[in-house]
Amino acid sequence: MFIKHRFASPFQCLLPILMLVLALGACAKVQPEPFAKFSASVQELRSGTDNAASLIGTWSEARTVEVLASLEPKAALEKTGQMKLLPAPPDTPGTVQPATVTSETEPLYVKIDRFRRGLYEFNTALVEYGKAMQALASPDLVSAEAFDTMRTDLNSNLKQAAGAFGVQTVELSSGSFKVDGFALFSTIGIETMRNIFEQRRKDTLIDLIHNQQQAMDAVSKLGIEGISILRTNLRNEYNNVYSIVENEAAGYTSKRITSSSVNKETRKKAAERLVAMNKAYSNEIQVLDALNIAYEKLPKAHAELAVNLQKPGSPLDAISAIYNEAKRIYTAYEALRKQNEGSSK
Amino acid sequence: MPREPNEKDNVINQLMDQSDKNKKLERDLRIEGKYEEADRIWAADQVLSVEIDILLGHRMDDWKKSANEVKPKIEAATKKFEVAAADIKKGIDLAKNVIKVLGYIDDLIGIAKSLLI
Repeated sequence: MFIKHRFASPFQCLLPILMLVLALGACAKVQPEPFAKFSASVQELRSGTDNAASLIGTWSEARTVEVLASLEPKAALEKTGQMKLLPAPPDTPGTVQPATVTSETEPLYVKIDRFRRGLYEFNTALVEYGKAMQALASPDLVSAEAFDTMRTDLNSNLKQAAGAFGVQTVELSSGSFKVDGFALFSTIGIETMRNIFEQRRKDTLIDLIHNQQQAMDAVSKLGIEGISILRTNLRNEYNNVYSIVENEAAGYTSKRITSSSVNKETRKKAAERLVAMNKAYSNEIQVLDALNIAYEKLPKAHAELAVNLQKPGSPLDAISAIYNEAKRIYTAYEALRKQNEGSSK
Repeated sequence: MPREPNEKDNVINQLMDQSDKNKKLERDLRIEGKYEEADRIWAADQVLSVEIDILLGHRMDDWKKSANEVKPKIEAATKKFEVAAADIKKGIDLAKNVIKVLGYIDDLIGIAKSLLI
């Protein structure tokens, strides 16, 4: 039997629409937390990589000094000649370059410094990417306050317009209601508009994230490769500097023969340097491991951002993993910084 | 994902293994009091060290070249996100302005009505 339903008042007609609009709004809403975590993690990747490269550069500089001091005069002059900086060609004003610009003779610490800057620039591109994603997902972009203001303004405008024309009640087929009921109209109108904006940005985020997935794979691969290069450099510098300092701690002079003139204080300092080097080396290995894991998880974490938009509440394992590794990197460097502060007092 | 060293990495690692052995030998010779032999090993290791440095330098330069190819892609993607956010902000600002303008029109209607009375 067909039952004809008639709404008792326009409010009864509008309320389900409002409920539907609000429900659609909840579905379209973008959760900003995963984007914030992704962005914070890649920022930590940048500083972690930079700090790691900085330590290796410092050791490489120290090695250059130590080796130079131990060389015979002729060999030492060859080295210093290669290290000397000259003004760069006219097309790059304001810069200098080594006297011998062939990569074979350029001291390694110069190359490490250049590599460090390259890593930083590369990671900065990733940081900016994370920030741009975070900004598009930010609640500030489609803010509740802005739409509340619009709703209040629209409601007030409708009332004023009705008042100006002397309208006190609005007649609809389902009944009549006073102009006070415009609030419901305004809410539905503004919420619908908000939903459109929310849906638009959600679709854009999903689309752009999908489009960049391949680039993120390339970033991950390069990040892992960069960390591997840092690891090899670290091993190289540690082994070389350790060998030099251990001889000092044992009482050998730069001519690498035992000397009774090497005082106890010098040997003690060298021994302390060995202990500090070991701590820094262990710490650096941990950081490089954490960085390696974070770069490995990066593509999956990036993909999870889109999956979570399509299926809210889906797991964010990779994002949690890179976030945890970022915290580990930060903690490791904080410990090292405190240790260095303690040893310098 | 296990790390997969490339060919240059393998060569560098082998040379570094050798350098480690040299350093250990140098240390042992000094402990035994054979200083001249130890110095010769040290000198030979310095030559090897220069070769390792050269290969490491190449490895870093290669990486930079690859990074320079990927970086513009990421920067272009960043721009797309920024443009999308700016478009949405522009849309919302436009909506706000339309509602404000409607308010002004209502005010004008009110004024016009009051003049007619």
